[in-house]
Amino acid sequence: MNNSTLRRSIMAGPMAVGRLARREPVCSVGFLILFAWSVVALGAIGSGGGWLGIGRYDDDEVFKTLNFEFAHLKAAAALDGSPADRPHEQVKDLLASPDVYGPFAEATDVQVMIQDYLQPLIAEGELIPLLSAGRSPHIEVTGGVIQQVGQGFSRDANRPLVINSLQSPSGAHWLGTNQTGNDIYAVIVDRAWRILYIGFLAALIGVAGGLLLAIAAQPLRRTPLGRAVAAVIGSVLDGLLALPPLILLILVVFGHGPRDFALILPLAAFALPLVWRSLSESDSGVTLAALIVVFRNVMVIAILSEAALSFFGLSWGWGLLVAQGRQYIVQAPWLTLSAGLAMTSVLLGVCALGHGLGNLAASRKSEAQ
Amino acid sequence: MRVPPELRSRIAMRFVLALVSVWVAVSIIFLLTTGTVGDFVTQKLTNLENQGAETRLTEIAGEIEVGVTRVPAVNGQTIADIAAERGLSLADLLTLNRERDPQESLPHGARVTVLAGEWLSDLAIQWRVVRPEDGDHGVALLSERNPEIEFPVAQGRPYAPTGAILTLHHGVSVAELAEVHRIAAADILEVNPAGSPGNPDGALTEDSLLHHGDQIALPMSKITSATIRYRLGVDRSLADQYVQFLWDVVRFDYSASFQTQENSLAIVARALPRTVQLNLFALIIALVIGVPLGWLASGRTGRLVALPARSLALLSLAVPSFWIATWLIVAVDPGGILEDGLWNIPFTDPAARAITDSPVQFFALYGIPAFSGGLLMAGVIGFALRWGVTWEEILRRLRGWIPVFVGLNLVLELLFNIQGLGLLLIQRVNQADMPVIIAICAIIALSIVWCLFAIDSACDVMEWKERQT
Repeated sequence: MNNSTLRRSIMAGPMAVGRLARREPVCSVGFLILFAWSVVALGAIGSGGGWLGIGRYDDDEVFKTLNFEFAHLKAAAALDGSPADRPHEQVKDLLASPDVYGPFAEATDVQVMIQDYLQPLIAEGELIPLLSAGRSPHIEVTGGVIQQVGQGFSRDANRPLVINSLQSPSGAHWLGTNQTGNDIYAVIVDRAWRILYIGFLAALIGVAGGLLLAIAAQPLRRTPLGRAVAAVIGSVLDGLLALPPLILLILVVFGHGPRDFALILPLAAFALPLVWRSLSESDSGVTLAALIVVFRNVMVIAILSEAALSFFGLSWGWGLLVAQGRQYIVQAPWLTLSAGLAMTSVLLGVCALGHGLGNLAASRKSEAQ
Repeated sequence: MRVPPELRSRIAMRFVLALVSVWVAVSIIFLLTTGTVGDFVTQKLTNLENQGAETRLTEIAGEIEVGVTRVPAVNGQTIADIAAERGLSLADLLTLNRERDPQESLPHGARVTVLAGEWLSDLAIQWRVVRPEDGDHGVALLSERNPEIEFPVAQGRPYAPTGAILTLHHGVSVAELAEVHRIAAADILEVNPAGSPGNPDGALTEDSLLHHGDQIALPMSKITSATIRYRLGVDRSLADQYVQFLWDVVRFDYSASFQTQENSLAIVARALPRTVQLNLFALIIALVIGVPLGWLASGRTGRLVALPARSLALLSLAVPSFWIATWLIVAVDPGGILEDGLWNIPFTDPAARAITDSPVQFFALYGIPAFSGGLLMAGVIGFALRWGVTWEEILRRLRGWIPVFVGLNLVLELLFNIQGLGLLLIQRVNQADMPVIIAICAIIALSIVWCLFAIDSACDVMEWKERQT
């Protein structure tokens, strides 16, 4: 391979992007947004702020504060009304049981927290003295019985519970900190990868599955009986459409917890009827433009549904940050603002890229004709 | 207008296909709720059941005094209606309810005495003489244990007359108690080892008689898991459960809520109007915004307007409704939401919940969520108008977005404390109240299927009209 071929093949990618930018400016904007998010999300994977250092903080530093508070709350709730000298073995079992953590018992954060933080304390018999010594504002001991004092964080904004909580954006914390003292930038970046791959995989699996199904059903359209069978297949797929994706997700999480794959599959299933309809109703058969539009739609639906699910508190995506930030919207608007802007920008990227690529494919086709 | 047979048969076919969709949707609900019950559900239910755990045997009463049987009236019923409905003589009912006029319309839930006593089979179940499905056996047992009492018969069922002192148990053997609870006798013996309060001398066996107030420990976790399996119906075969589930959903027979014992359908029916109102309002706003936006974006009015309009359509598709709604509340603040600069869940006072009281309240409560929820649809309409030419094609494009739209609007109910299906669903998920969850999902799925059916039929009609011209 000589030099110029090498140069040309290296430059092929950027050149293509350049041509794209000239023909469909909207498309290139979407591409840039998604590209930036992918770099950020991929760069933050791994410990110590990610292999690119984009996460900025060590996992321990970022998430320990949250977990301390969370642990206190949960422990206080679980121990409510029990005698202060309750045997430590019992306390340990109580806290480790799924009752205490509900659907999040298997969440990595919670498990790590129980193992690293709560259990050693319990084993050393320090948890209850620690909780009752006033280091947690949520607990009080009267007459040898633990009373829970309020559930949730103090509503008094002048008395922050945690050091560093609700700080405005600065050089140290680019997007400020939340009520538990976490760096918001670090949290957003940490969750970015998840939202991207859930959306992308759901769309990919769904569109690929729908395409296979549509191609397999193609020969059916030649006979009247075959067309009837195709109509029945269509209505079976419409049955998948009948349950809104958010409700499907709630049901799945209800039974099986917010595992990533449990979220991807229902969203992918929702794509099947969309692909089927879009392909079976177009006269020109399978077109790239139609597929791109469906892919974009499914990805938007998947990301929105996951965000809504976490807004409900049933998953730990960006929606959860919006839900938490809502409480502090006046004194710390950056909380809600940054998580929401992150969501909107990803969705905008997906919409714009899909829109532009769809247009491009459609115009290619009409040119060819 | 005469409907041609060709169009009629096409719509009839659509109807049959919609029934297939209903079947698939209901099957999915079955799979997700009953077919594969997750750990969390069982844990949660065990937790709820255990709240009543105790070691003293209070559920086994030796003797009771028989009361009267009352039923709640349905709104507008009279005593005569109740007599006719239950096959009782009107004269008897009037003697039992002297204070009531035979023609008087009863208020909803008014308690009407229907029997001067209590059914033996019901007593046997209530006081754990037998298991619920063995009511007839209980009648025989109770008659045998009370030879001195004469049991009259009404509606072909024997009952104990009011005021009689009825011997329920001469004592229950450990084996009998275990059977009533659907567990093994060995389970009870296991939690009462020799030396424990229930078994001080170690002489407790399967045949030992237990009495009211005995300090015997019951294996609550085993009892609750057996009860839960029974209540969820998962002790039967999967095929059995599936057939039963389909049949119940088709008959609109949703079982009583685990939490309040109220009929699930009644609970859902109370919440449904709010959700429908919100969605219709949001749809209207989507049309009001989306149609002009789509018109401008289509380029018919020039390229200078088209680009910003297209960007707006993209943006309205991309902004999550619950996020924009949060900011709109802060911006508009329709009174009392942000007290002392802190968030209060809005509209929690009962006065504001009666949203249909005045148009002002209606718009105050629904304006922001309807606008935020409508944005998504407005974006979709904007794009559809741009590409689509005929109304039929536009409808087809919107079709797939309807479930998404309905689903995402559920979140807004949480944000605005609208007492609709979304809020109900999330509350009941937290309480593991399976029957209500099933009812909500089934009602939403049915509505969406028929909505899609209406859209498809409308498309057929349009297509047919187009061919006419």
